[in-house]
Amino acid sequence: MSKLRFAAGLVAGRLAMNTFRILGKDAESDRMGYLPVKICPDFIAHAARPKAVIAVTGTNGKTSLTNFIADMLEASGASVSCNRWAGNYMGAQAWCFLNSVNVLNRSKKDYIVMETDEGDSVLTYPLSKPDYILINNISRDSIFKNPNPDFIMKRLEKAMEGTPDSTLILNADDPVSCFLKTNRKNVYFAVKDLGNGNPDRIIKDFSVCPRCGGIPQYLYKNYGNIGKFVCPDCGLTSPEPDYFAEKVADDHIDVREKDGSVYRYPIITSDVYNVYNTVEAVALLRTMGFEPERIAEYISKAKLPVDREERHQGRHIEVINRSVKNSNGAAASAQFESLHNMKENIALIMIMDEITTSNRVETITWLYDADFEFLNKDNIKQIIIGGERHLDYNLRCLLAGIDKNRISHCLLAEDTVKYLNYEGIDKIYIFHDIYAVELSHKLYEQIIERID
Amino acid sequence: MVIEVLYPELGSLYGEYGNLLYLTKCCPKAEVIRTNHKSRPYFADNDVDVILASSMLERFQPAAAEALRLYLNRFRELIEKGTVVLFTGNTVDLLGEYILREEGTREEMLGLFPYHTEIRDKRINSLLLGSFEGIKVIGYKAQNAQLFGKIQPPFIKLDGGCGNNRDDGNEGIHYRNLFATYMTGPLLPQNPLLMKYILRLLGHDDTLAFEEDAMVAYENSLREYEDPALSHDLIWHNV
Repeated sequence: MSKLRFAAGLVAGRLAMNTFRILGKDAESDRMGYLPVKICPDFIAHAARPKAVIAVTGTNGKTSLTNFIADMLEASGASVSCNRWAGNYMGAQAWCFLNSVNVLNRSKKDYIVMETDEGDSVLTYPLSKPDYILINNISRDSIFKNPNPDFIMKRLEKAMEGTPDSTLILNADDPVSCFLKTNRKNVYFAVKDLGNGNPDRIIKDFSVCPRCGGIPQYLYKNYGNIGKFVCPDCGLTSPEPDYFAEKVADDHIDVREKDGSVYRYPIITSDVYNVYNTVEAVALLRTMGFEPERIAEYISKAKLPVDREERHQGRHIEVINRSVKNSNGAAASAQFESLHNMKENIALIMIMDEITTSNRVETITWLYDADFEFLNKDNIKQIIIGGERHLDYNLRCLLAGIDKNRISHCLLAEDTVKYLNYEGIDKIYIFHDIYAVELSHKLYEQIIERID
Repeated sequence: MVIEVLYPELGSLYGEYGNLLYLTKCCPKAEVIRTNHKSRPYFADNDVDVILASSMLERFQPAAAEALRLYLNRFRELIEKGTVVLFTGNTVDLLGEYILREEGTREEMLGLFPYHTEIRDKRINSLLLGSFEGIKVIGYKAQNAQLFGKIQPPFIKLDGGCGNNRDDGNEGIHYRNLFATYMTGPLLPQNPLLMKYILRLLGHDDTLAFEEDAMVAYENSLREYEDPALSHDLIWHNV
């Protein structure tokens, strides 16, 4: 019966996918993946496997890392099935498998690289049994979804029970996920002290030693909770990394491996998140057996996904359209901090309501997890907020000490551009929710028209 | 004015930092003392004006209860004296008798009030609309726990959303100047009239920081919460 259901799901799914492609419609979607799952709930478990299934998860940075790894593997000449569009639930993962097989259930791709939701892992990993599971970091996310680290870790630990043969690639600098109980030997990566000081954040997801209940001390923090720590009471410390970025320059990093050998890799940008992504991707490909020289070549061919960020340099002003997760204080704080560290004069448009929800009053808890205080800086000249919750954002900005004269806000996100004052501005940022790609791109183009 | 924040290293979830932030903006001269669970609270030897505690991971609750139990008599004395105490989110559980975990284990809490907490397998996400002494209160609840027993005197009478448990029309405890509620997030910035009420309890000028902006945001949200078409029960999903 199960085989029959699978065959029906496969035929229906492939037929729909091929028809959509022929008609020029969007065949890459969660919905497309849910079709075979509706017919055969364990569709993923029956689908033929490629050479390797790679699952990327964690609270922040999944989409960028997934796309980055897929780019690198494609640069190696391999064929890859990847849910590049940031969908990461069962449907998106089923899509990866559906896309990687033909109607006879023969694998036609070399690799599946899939972004996976950390909370959903308990349902999906026992089906997909990934060969490699990469966990960027774990911290609180949307209060609706993955509200606190323990909630997520419990789910991941249950997921691990269903995937005993997966190789785990973990961030030694994340004091939450590095202690995931996996019952196997893990591969760890880490990054040197990047000299960012010890930036204080409202969110403190690692403030108590998991072994003795003491108050851990950071030896360094690179961002958020990410850094190397030691507990003064019991001596618990971050795991020793197998891959350690011991030097970070503007255009390359040097990664030391456990045997002491050091290899140089290019980096697309030197921002801290990309540095971590690069070391993590290197750790994966080295574990898979790729040579360092080849990996360096593949990195140089990879790029950041367009729907996460797009940039345009006008005559005097640069505009940057960037996706920032809604309802996630850690993700927002990271972006606010990146603006805080800039010297140029900045105007910021925020359209970060979760606009796909209906008949629901969005909660504002995360506004007080996010460090709006980073935006209280002289060179951040304008903050323009659009969307249903604009009045709540306005109050949060005021409580962060931001001058009232720098804040504009309006109900309709489409109207935000009208409030822009271009005089003396070097960079205009649009921070938009991940579901507002189309709208933010429209605003981005309106600004380009004005500044070119 | 002295505001003591209990165990911030244990309890910093869900934006409840907003309560402290708004208090300090409205009372800029207030001294803030943060006490971790390994330290002797300032209130043990001194009078304080406000004691705050915020949502924490469930596994931290026994440590928090043990830490506070050492100074229970003094804590009770301060409550009786009228110190403003605000316990939000699952710190409400600390004030009850015990927590019954999903797997059946029982953890003893402080027993200041005759109720207990049961952790259920369903997570409740609910918008809350209610009233307290004529003030319309809005907020948000996210919990696996429900409270049972004598949960009195009540803090908020519900008009919408989930109360102490699925069958209770009240939310939280209000005893003298202690306010304990499972509502989470920035309760005070979201409820400027409640903030004013607390300022008056403190004998402080009740003019709010950014009062006009806070009131406009509150009134806008209140309209949404009072919309008959709005479902206050949000998403339920298994842990």
